[in-house]
Amino acid sequence: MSRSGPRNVVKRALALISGHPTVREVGRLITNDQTETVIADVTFEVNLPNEWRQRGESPSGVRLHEAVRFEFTRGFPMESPKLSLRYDFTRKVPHMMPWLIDGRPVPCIYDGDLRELLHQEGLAGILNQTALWLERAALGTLIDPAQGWEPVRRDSLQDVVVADSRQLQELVDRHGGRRFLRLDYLKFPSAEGTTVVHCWISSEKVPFNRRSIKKILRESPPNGDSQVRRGTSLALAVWPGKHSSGDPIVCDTYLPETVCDVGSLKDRAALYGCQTELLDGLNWLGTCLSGYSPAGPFTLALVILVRRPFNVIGSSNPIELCPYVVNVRPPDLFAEGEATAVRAAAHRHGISRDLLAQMAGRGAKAQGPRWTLLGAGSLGSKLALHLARSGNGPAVVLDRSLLAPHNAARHALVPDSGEMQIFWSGAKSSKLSSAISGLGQNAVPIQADAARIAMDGGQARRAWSKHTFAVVNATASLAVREALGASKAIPTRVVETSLFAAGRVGVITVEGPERNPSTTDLMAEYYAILRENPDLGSMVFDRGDGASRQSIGQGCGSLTMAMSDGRLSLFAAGISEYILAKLYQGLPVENGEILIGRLSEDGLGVTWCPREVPAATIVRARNGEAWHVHVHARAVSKIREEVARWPDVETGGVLMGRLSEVSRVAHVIDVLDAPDDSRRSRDEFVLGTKGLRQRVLEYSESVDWSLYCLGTWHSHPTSSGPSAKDRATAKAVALARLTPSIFLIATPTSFHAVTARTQSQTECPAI
Amino acid sequence: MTANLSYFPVGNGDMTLVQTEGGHKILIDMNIRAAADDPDDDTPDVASMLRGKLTRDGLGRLYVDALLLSHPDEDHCRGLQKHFHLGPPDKWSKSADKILIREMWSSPLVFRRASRHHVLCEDAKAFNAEARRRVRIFRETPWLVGNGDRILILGEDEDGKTDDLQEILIQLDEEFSRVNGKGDGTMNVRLLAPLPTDDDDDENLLSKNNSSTILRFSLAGGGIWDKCRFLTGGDAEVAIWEKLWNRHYWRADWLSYDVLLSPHHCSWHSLSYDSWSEEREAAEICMDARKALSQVRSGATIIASSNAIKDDDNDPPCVRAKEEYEEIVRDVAGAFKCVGEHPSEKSPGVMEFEIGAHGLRQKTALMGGPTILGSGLIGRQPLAHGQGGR
Repeated sequence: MSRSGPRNVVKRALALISGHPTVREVGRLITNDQTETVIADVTFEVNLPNEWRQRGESPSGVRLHEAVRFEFTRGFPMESPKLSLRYDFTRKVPHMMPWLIDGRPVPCIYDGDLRELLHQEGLAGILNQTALWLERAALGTLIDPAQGWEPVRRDSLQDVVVADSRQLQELVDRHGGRRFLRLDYLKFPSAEGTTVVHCWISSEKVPFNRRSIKKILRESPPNGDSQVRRGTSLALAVWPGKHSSGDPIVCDTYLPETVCDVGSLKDRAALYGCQTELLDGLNWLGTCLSGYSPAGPFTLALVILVRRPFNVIGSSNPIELCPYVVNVRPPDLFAEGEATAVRAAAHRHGISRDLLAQMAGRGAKAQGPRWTLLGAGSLGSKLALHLARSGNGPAVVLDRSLLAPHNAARHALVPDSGEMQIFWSGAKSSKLSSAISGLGQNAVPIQADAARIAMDGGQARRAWSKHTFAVVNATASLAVREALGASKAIPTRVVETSLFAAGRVGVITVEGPERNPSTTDLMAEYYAILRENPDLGSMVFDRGDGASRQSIGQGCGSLTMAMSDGRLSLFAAGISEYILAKLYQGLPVENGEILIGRLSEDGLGVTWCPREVPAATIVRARNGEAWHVHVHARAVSKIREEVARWPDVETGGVLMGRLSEVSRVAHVIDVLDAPDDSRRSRDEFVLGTKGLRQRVLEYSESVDWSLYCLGTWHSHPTSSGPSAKDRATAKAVALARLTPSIFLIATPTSFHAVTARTQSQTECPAI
Repeated sequence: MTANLSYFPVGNGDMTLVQTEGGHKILIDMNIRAAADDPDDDTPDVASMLRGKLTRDGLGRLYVDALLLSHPDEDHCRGLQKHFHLGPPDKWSKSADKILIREMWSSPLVFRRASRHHVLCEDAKAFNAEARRRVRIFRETPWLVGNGDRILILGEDEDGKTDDLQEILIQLDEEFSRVNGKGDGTMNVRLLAPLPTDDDDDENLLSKNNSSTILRFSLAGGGIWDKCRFLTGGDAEVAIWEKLWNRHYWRADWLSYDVLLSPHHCSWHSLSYDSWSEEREAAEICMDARKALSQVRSGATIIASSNAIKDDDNDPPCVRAKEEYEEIVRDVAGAFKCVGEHPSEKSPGVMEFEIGAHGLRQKTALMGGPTILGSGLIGRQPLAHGQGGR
């Protein structure tokens, strides 16, 4: 014993252990003065069911009173105490570490670093977990079906097999079988002087025979480095079939890893019910290698796909991957026969959509929805990569421009250093697609003008289809928006994302079902919302809103906003989270949606306010050119209120909104009340003029003329369309405007519209 | 649903919740002291503990399927009026949010008038009034009896007051498997007492304690019938247990158990006619009573629902009784447990058992938050992003 005894912190720990409800006693301490280590054997009382108490232990061999050794090193309490069980404690239970401490089995009481548990839950947390572990080991419930099947632990393994687990799991059928796949590997010496293999199994099926196998097995030192060998070879995956009863062969036995050579590998395959498949594969390989001239050794990866009774922990599949590596030395298969060493290897996931979706906290989606990105600039590239990193990158990336040095300020892609910057010049679409493919996803790059694609039905088929979840417009281009709004070749919905006011305001618009409200409707609605929020409006409509021509080289300029990458990312992060959520939940089922994001005063965060936008009432003009009038809900509601006030006579007012010349749509966003001097009678409504000009001016100026007077509306107390008088009036007042004037007639059940166009004046007609 | 037994820390009193695999929840007695309802008092808040184990019905009412009052002593019915809804179920109030008793299990004692042996506390009077209300509804409109109006009478009234109640009457020694008007195939209960009194019984046998209802539950676990037998007998004293042995010695299996709630909070008077405090080690065991209380099955557990048991003159709980019970379970590798000492005397909690395919098993008690925080040995803190995994 130590002269001074244990340190105070250890004494306190021991007192705490003694007080634990399941601790029966703390045994005599063993201390080592030199290492300052204190060992205590702590006896836990395990709550066995009545049936087992008299025997004193569970069928799995856990005793009513179990001693667990706690070893407090000098590092405690920074480091956790080391736990170990009695020498003869069964190792045939899951959640057992693959190593021993002084010959004692070590329980895996926590799915993580024990030191972190100590700092998270305190020593009581470790005691609680130990008590629960003993209880579950006794009851045989260490594997919890709800949590999943515990894979055989392979922590201390040095060799690594990278493979897309889903692709391998999908090989498994009820008949049993084998598959040779392409293997790429690197061999290099470890610090301990052994050779370590890191290999990658591709999904490429490799058929071969005696002749062709020579083309497959290759190995050479890369870049003349004699220490490292790079090779291509084969991976053999095998899986079990079914019993004679027709039931699939399932292995519900948990056994620690025992494979060390070819013989024990075959035994293991027998346990898993696929020895025949393994031998079949090895025999074929051996046959093909028999005519091979001496060479090698080459690495062969073997993966046993074990069918478990329920899903493996952390996956949604009951197939456990058990990978191994072994050397083959042609012309022999295994140089030392059954005694040839086989090393259990650690499995690492390849980068795949499933893995990324899982890491993003979203269950892997079997068929991720496809979406198209328009605009691979700073905002678009960030959206694409945020979503690709969650396994939901775009299927198509469309952009017309090339990367330029100034893009490095905010683009998600990062240029190479030094002279390699010459490569920072390709098409944005293909560069971004390439980055997305690095994340295990395919994105078709299209270098083209989104506006032209939208207006060209033939070309549009390259960019989207009826299966496309949404077309996300991140081009910040007014022309593209207009083209998308006008396009009849988009069988899906458009989501537009834009930033305004030097990155102080952001907006997301989402079209409604059947593209109503449309992307242009929504932007007109956005302007109306800005009018209702003057402080927001003043930022967005500020003439010096930050969008200015930035010099990007001698003679070159770019109309963009100067803002930091971080600020742009604040918005990009929120927008991509929104899109990600919608990919899983679906787009709004009834209405369109506008979200306006606002940078906080301190510039550190963004608050998003959503607003639903109902479908606009669409009225086709009855005369002249083929114009449509989209009457928005706000305007409909005000018109109906006004009509209700004057049910027996004609009434009316002034239409406010904006026109889209490309799509030939008048967006009626709002109405202004008729002036006081207007006259209402059963036969006609005559719009007055008193104060109207001033009100129209104020309205338009408040939104920087993004909304303006479109014409007038009046009611017909009966459900009749435009009268001859209406048409004549329209023609007469057409002289008043450059743009088409809209005459909207509200009947009790519907709307009718007529248009008039002139080349002469620019004033509102009745003013 | 896993069958389980919960013993609430109510000091020297009883409060047991039986949950069957069929999903029925049966509360046996309660002793919800005023201090337990005081958030500033350390007495365990057993009302909250109980509520946490109950569910609400479609009308938002917390409920127990059945409530048995073993006998009308205060330490077995304290808190009834405060925490349980009494009266017509349609008068249940959301704001009061009391627990609905779907069915009462009552001894025929409710028909007995108050007497020298039968002085009742307010909660016991309220129980009796409620029982009589339910009997009246059954008599008047048996077709209208629903949740909150049902009652089961455990044992016949010797004066014939239960003669017209055969449908809701359980006869002595009868087995039944119904709760709240429905069959429960995962439970079988035998009524062992109250026993009929003979003319030559002394006054002692007329006491409230000895009117205790004694039930032996047989409960399924892990889908297997009869995995746990639970014997519970209120405060029945030595004379009753002696009588029971004489009545059933030839079919002692009726008294066998995997878990016994030691009568009268581990009182010596359930095992002996002698006084522990006066005669100490000279006090003699009544062997027949002991036999009635020692029909243990393998691994059986005996529970004392009492304060912590000390080596002193107290009775109940009595240290000598504890020693006797420990002796009873020793041969079958069983255990004696005191609710007042679990998991610690300083901070007792609910003692819980699960019934699985391998029988009764005590749930493992873990060290709770206050201990972790109070230990001074690295408190509790949230794990930051980026940590975890192995």
